[in-house]
Amino acid sequence: MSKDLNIDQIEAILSQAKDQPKLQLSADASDKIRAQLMTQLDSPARPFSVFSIRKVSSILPMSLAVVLAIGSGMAAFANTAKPGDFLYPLDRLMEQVEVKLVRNPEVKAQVYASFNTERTAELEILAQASAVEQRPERKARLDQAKAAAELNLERSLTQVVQVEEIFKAKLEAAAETAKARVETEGESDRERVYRAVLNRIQVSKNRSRELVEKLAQTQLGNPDQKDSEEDQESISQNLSNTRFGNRLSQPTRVRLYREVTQDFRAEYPRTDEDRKVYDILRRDGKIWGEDEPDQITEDKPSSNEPDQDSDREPCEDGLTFSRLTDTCIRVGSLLQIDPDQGGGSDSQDTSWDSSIWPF
Amino acid sequence: MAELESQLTALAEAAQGGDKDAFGEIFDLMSPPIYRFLASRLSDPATAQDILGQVFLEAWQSLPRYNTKRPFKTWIYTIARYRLIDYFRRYRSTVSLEAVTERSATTDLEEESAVRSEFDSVLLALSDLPEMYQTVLRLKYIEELDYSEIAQVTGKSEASLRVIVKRGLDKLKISIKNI
Repeated sequence: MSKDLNIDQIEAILSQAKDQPKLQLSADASDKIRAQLMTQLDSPARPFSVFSIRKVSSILPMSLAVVLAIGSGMAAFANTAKPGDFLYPLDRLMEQVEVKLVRNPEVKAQVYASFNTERTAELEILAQASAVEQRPERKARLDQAKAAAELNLERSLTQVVQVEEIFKAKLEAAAETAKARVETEGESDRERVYRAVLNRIQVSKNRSRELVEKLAQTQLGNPDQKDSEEDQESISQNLSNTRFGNRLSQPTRVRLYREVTQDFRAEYPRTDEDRKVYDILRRDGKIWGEDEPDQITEDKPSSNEPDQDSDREPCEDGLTFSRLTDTCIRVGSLLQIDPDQGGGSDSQDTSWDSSIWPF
Repeated sequence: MAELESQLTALAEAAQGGDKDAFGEIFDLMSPPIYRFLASRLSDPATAQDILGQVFLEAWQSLPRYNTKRPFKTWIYTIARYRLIDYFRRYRSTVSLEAVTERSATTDLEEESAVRSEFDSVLLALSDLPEMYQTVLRLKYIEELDYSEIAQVTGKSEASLRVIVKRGLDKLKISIKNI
């Protein structure tokens, strides 16, 4: 049964509800509650409840502050960690998070440049420490960390050079479209931003390059170095090459060869980074020959010829035969870091994989 | 009304100084309206009585923080409202008093519809409104608080309370029609 009441009727009915017997507190109930209340007034303190929302809400900010303080303290320590340090993985993890958080391409590029500078500083510190360390055990550990730092720097440089290429292309495109305006009004804002990014990368890259050259020369000039004369000779030859991969020390190259080829045997392709390192090492394999690199005592000049045991056609100039792709490709050209060559002479590199760069 | 308020304020000041008898007098004055406010939302009188005791105990414990320049009546209604919200948060399935009394009166739906008075229909429809509408309408019509007092209990402006009352009555009208 539906009822059609107007607003006035509803208001009148609501006002009458006050006197409804159901809503009256009986005298007995009132006396009982009053008596109980009076006994409780002597103990004003409320019993503590761990699950009380009020308690938790008062403790929660403090707990969060403690967690954040410990977390940020560890993060600050981790930021200064070097390869081999306990907190170094945390440092790298935080860098990955930082990269994920940045969306602006210009900022992201500068983040990569700052990471490269950090990799350079890590290698520098470890190289110095390794050079002065006398105790064999510690020295072995430092050398191992130094080798890891070298690999990290190499990867970082690969990344930075790729970023540099992208921004060079962006700068050229921006300059092209605004050519007329540039002549009259000067550089556009976009170009200035790109140029700033490129400068940042250049500074970081130059620092890495200087360190690599310094390390290579120190290695040559130090008679106590455990590299054989043949190794020194091969390093010397490699110095004439601007490719960073050739500037790695012989033990590092051997380790890299083992690690990376092992990885690739197990699962190929693994990552773009690994593929590029592998390509460099394949090229170095031509220098070393097809034997295990640690059995090679002399580097051979780089060749564009296909493998000795193959009857394939020779590759064209500037190309190298890759067993992995079964074609002639340009390998390792991304690691050409000579600034005079503009970060890589092969601007139309076929092994370029833009997918590693997210924009 | 003003006399009650000044009396309550004087008693509250005394209770702040630790006078339990003064607080007992506050209980005598304010327990009937607070119980009415609670009982109109709750199905079980025993629950309403339990919460009534909690409201006054909390008022006693919070007295040191009570500002005697503010009306005591609205202060204790505010405590009651929050205790009620807490209760419903914990026991969402609780059926309103009106619904229980209606449905327990008879099990036959047709007969139930026939005997349902206009009064019961209004209260039943009221218990289905959102919490703010229910609180405001109950405070205005059942507890007879004015807009300035309701504003202190609910934290809403008087202008928005007028809108809530208007919309609440409109909603009630539609709900009653559909019962």
